[in-house]
Amino acid sequence: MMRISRGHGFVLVAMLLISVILLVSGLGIMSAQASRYAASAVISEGLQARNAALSGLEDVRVKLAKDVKFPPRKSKDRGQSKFAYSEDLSTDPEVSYSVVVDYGLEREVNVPSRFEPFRWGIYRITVSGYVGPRNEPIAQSLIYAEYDIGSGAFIRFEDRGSL
Amino acid sequence: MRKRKSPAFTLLESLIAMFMLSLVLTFTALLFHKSYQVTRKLDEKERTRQAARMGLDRITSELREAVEITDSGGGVLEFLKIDPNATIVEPEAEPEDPEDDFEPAPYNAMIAYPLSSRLRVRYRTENEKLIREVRRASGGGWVGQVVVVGVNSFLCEQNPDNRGEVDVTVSVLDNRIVKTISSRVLCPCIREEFGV
Repeated sequence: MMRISRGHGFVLVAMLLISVILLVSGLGIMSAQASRYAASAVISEGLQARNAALSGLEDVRVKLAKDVKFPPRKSKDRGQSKFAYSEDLSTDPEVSYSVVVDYGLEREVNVPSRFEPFRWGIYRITVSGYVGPRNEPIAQSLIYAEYDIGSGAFIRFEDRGSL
Repeated sequence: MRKRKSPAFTLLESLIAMFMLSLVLTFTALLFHKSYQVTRKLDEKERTRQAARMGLDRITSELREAVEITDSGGGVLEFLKIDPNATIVEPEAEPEDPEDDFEPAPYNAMIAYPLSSRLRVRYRTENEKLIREVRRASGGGWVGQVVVVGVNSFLCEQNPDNRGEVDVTVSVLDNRIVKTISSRVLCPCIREEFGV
């Protein structure tokens, strides 16, 4: 059997030590880069969610301007004052928005001499944009707006932030 | 084969090993130093880019809430928005039994949110700082805060053919070179509506 001297072991230990130091430093640099990439991915998903919410607001704006039967008010007599709908914009990645139109501040009066009822007041609109499933989103953005029925224009807009 | 008596290295072997080890260590140190320098330079670039992005994001997200733009020239942006804490003046309730000549009382944005419910917001730059100032639209003094440091200047251009469409450009100094970043904002409360 070959005898192993104590002196040779020193080189092995030294090389292992150097390798470990290099490995740890390399991993440190790599992990710093990884966290940077992760941060930029989160920002991009937040922006996607906000743009989804903005497209939802644009959709509801067009519906309010063009469709006289929007929002459907059949439930108003039952004491309900909100109408909600949602739409998927893409499946991969999963991007969608949901809209809630609160017509509690809408006033409507039917006058026998008029074909159409008088309608005035405000619609309160809340739009949420989602990236990922709506019940467990990766990113979410919330927009609140108020729409004046008389002038057909938004009178208040608030970007309530992203998650 | 004749075996050496002593298991230890000779002086020459040790010297060569040490020389090679020092070579490896020197190159590794140089490599790390260079990569540290590059990382620092990239960090500086990133900080500048982030300042521009933050400034632009702050201006555009608040400008989107504007109900009226009062000044957008000479590196100053001033606009009115609804106070987030304001409560709406609700429209009058419907009459139980309206007359045939019934006319609803006027109701519009100014009635829903009078001047006391509105804020006047101003953005400007001073000594490479983006400053946001705010006061009540009905009067009072300005309250200012530094939004972000590192923004050289900004410019807002309203599209004369499309009300409520504003191009915002923020410029920053990156290693003595002026770099710009732009974004287009559509203000929902200023936009002209379709023919309803």
